[in-house]
Amino acid sequence: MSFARLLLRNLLYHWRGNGAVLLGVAVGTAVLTGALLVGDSLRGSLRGLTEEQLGWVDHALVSGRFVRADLSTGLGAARAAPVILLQGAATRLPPDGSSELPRRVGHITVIGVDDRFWPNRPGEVALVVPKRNGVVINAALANDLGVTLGETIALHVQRSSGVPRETLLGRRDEQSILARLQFPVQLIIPDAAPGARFNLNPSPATPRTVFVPLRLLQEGLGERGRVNAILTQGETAEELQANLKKHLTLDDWGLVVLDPASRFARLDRDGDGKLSLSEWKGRVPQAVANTADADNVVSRQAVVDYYSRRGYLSLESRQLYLEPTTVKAALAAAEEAHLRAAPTLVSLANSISDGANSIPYSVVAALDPAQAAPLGPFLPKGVERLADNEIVLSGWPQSPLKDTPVGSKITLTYFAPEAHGTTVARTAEFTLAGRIPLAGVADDPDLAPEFPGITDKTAPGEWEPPSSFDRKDIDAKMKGVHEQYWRNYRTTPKAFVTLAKGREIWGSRFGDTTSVRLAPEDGRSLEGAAADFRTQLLERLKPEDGGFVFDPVRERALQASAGGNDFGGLFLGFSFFLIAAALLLVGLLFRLNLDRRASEIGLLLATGYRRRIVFVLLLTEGAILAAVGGLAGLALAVLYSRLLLEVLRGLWPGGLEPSFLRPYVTVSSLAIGFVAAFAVSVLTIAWAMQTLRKVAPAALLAGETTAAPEATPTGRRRLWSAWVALGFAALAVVHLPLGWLRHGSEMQAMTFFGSGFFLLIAALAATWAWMRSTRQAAVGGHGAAALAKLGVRNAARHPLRSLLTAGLLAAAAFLLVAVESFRRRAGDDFLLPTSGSGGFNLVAESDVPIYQDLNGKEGRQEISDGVERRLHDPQALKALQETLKDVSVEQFRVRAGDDASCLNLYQPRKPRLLGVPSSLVDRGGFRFADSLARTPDEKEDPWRLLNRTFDDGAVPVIGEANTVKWMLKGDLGKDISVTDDQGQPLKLRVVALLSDSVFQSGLLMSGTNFLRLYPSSEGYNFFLIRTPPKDADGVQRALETALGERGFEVTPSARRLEAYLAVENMYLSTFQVLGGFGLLLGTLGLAVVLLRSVWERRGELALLRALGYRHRALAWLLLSENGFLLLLGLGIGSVTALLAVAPHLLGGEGAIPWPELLGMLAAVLLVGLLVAAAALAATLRAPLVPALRRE
Amino acid sequence: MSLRVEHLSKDYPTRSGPLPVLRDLNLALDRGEALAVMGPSGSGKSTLLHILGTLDRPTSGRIDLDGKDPFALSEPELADFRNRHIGFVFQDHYLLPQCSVLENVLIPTLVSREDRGQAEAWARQLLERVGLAQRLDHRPAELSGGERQRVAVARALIHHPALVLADEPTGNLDRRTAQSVGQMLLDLHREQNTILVVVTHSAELARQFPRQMEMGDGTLQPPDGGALTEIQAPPGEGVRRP
Repeated sequence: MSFARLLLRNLLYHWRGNGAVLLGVAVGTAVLTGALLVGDSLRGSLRGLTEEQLGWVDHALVSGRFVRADLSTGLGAARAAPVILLQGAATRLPPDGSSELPRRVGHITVIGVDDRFWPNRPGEVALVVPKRNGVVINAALANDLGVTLGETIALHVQRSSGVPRETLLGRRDEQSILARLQFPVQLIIPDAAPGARFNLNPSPATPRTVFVPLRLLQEGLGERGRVNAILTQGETAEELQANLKKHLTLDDWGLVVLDPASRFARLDRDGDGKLSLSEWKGRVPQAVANTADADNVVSRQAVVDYYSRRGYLSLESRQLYLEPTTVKAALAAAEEAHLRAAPTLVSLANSISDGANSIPYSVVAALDPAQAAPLGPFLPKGVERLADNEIVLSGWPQSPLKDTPVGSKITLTYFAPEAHGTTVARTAEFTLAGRIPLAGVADDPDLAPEFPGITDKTAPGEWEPPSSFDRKDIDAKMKGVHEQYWRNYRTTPKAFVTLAKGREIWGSRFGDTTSVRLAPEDGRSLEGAAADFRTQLLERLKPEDGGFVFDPVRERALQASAGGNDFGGLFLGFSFFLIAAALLLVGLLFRLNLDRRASEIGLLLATGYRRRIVFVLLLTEGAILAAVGGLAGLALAVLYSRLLLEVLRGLWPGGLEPSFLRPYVTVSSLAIGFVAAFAVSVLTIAWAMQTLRKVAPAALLAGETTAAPEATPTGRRRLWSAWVALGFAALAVVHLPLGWLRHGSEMQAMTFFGSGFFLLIAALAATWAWMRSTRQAAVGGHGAAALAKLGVRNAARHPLRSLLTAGLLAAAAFLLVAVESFRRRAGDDFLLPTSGSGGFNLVAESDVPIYQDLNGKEGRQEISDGVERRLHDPQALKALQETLKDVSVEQFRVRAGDDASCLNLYQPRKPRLLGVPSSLVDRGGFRFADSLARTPDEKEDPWRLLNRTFDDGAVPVIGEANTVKWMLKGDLGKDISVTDDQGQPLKLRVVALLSDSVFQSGLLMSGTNFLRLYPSSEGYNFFLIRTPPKDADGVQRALETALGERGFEVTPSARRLEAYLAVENMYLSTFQVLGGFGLLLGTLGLAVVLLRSVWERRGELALLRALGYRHRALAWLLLSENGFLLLLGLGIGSVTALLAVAPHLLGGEGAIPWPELLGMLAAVLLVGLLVAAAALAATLRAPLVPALRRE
Repeated sequence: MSLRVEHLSKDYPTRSGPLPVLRDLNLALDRGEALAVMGPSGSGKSTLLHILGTLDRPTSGRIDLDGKDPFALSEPELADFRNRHIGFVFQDHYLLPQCSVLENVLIPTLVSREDRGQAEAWARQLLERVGLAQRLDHRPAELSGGERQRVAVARALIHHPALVLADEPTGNLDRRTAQSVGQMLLDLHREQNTILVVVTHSAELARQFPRQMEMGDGTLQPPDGGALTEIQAPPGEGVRRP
């Protein structure tokens, strides 16, 4: 005989009881480990998805400007593919003669690729990619479009624009913005095919993608040989960045250094070494035109000679404006190359007027007028310097202002340099400082940069003016001498102001310099100086400044695949009560075992076993059970985690794709789950044995397992329990209000659960005190009521056991009530201005930006034109125009980034940013959960906090409370790090938190800050629309019709909010499902307690039967005992939960759905009673006599 | 080896205050002596036995076993003391159903430093002595009531205890078996030279003992007039009067 054998004998002999304990441990382990495995699965699935969607791509350079495709070859990457990457919409064009309507799908990805893109690793499916005129689409898009092979689709994508669209000279009409490209569908690839789900921002939703042969897309967009993205494999971002700097050319930067030879080359489009009439007409100065021979041919030499005589080089940009960082680099490069530099800003004035006479549509140059030749001077005779409020006019003999006296007031009318939805005309006052002859440096049309559609036209009547200008006004005014001036001098400036003044009125976020003119200081040739300058300039241009940054997409996405939320932790939190319930069940079951083995324990003590040895023996048994149960639990955990994943997949709003969310199992989670579950199970078992320590061996031998109350008088124990109850109640009361003071989300959650927990303890302690009370009411009377009273009294016979049962149920009820209280929905008041919608009943997003103000004339015209073009229904158009009168729109700029809403399973690393229009800041509205508002103004309208400035340079932002707290791990007053347009780190400080808002997907900053930090972002992509409720559908249809090709999609804001709330509610539902499991365990626990009680009292019950009690009476007696415990548990749980969530409810953040809640609790009660009844039925069928004999 | 009990009292706490069970009880027994204690139910017989066996503590008074006060020992020392010096036989034998006959007898040896081989040899001898040599591997459920009680007697003697305490050892047995078990208990007591204290309702068993006392008013008294009366028979034995 040995201890090991005794242990084995014990374990095997008591297999029923031990099996139950083992099962309890297995359930606890399964729940705990399963929760961790859910986290593993989500992380694993996101990681798998990342790998699948990124394919071979490690880094991606996605640029705002098009660069040479050849740039990809010199980067030293193991693999590189130049691609064009665009967002847009696709339309399935019905076959000719068909009456079907075109079907359109927005938010699609258009990728221009060649063979370098497609996967070609061994073992991967080789795709037969069409190379001629067809496109490949993935099945997801084919399904959405309803398109089949051979059908034609139209793609609507944004054209790139050299000149920023939001500048005075930008083109914002639909024809200039949208490219409509038609292609036959040559291949539909399954979504599982390599590359089919390519996405630089991996997402569980399958992207809808069109793969267009690169060359076709380049031609369609007019970007031959150019791409806007380079994908690479291998190398580090730093190495790629270094190689990129070496290989970027001025052409990639969109820059050109014009020397005489390059000026000729620019004109000589056919490259034949001379200029034909079509090449030079309207594009060369008069002096060059005059050199044309009889065949109207201008020689190369004539051009080179002319520009050599001019004696300066010019640095210009395809974007019209040189970026400030480029100007800075150019000035430094010029100094290094010993070149004198003159930054110049040339713009257009609508009129130059002295009050009586005016010159329309004139080029005005802002420069340093005092520069020496060849860069100047531009000063009238006798004037040594020009003040900022002075203007010099060109001595054009036919000028309407030729007689305006020097010193007169000259008014310059011009359009504001930036057009934010509408163009605004402004004026500037000058004093006429004098005139300079229209000769020499002043007779230079090349001061103005090239602007296709204007500078290449021979007459104003041929101009293709940008959106800001009124064609009719131009035609009306540019006649006679003005037309003649253009024919003779083209873009030669008619007026000159200082550079400082010019920058003041025409400078914009896109730049304040149109060229840097450079003159060699040492008599070098212009060509030699230009070569030197180009080298020096490239040396100084930092790729990051131009937005050329290799993004480590794989690294970033893999980091993000850790998940927006730690689902392991989340499910562990959700499973807290379930785990507690399982452990309590383990404790109850083990204790039941001990009760049944009391005499055995007593015998061991009687035969000289030390208590410690008996304790160790029993604990070892428990530990073995916990270990075996834990191992079984690990197997169950895998199944349980799959069940949870199915629940998650099913409950996730809109559902998750079956291929996503695959089960993953990591050894670390299994190990953590096993060790944690084992440890807590052993502790629970040890705790269950604690009370046995105090029971005398003699009592144990007699089958008693509760200590005689000899040490402490009952009254003192009761008093102690009462103090505990009072103490915890006081703690809860003190703790609850802290929730209002704490801003941290975790802290608030802790406060909530802490308060609830304290209240629960207090209530249970009070119950304990009551059960220990000797002053319980006497049982009297007869019938069901008397039996019920006896049942209640019986419930207090074993206070600890009853307390455990009630505690278990209380915990489950607490869970259910608290969760129901937090379920949220867009309420009836959602459309009020002070609600989450801000009073805007529609929300819209657009893939291609809208540049017009949709409230203004231009914007409304755009909508009308769009509807007219597509519907051809004058009546519908008229009705629409009428409806639009009552519609107002707030439009937001958008900096693309990760969706920060709870719909994104990834961890958002660089959140989407929205620029809030100042009109919304002034208007106010929306519901705020919290803010840093201090002044009455800020408190009245927390949007004004966006205008705050912080000494440390932090930028104020507002975010939706849940987005900030849970997805971005930030909080009110805390900073979130992002980067600006140049990739420089930037701190965003959360100044207010919105509640239940439609703004979940990003952070909001003021429009002013947005433009300052992201000057390259243009147009508006996010819209809040307010319409009369009856017109909402019509407006939605009209906008989607008019702007649909831009991927403009309108959603009712309530539906949008509910999509977000659905995620929260999904979490709550998951929590409830787990709570339901907890409840099941709770009711099983109840059955265990009931069986234990019946087993102990089998003699008593048999006696009652012998005395003539019917089965029904006995059942009622026991059911009332258990029903009381059930009601007590549910009551304590529900009431404490209600008290704990009271602050949230009073704060208006939730509403109690009473019918559902009461229904659920009633269901709990019913299930509990049914389980009890089932246990009783089995017990009461036992024969009468043996039980009586035993007694 | 001797047992001295002086001014022993024991109260049980109840909701309405302490309930005295033993009052100023005195007793002296030397090695080789056997005592049968009789008394009505609730008179405190089992309480006395449990206190003598150190399974319960007295409220006051002193017990001296071979010159030692066991209640002065710490819990581990007390357990060791009980293991080495005291053997128990209970009415409900309390055999471990999961262990064989031999294993049940050896249960006390698991926590002693005794040589395992010697212990097992002695257990076999004891079982042979009680007539169960052929049933060593049987489980308690496979034995009759008398056989189970014999196993319990063998278990009580496994450590050559100085003091053997039996609480209604024949309470659950029929008359013939009870007589046989009682006789065996006395025989072994004589063979092992133990102090034997038996608590019983059975006058027949008590009469087999050289010394009898009756429990009344919380103390031990000589039996009234020397005649023994069946005070309360356990179920199944009926009630007899002399």
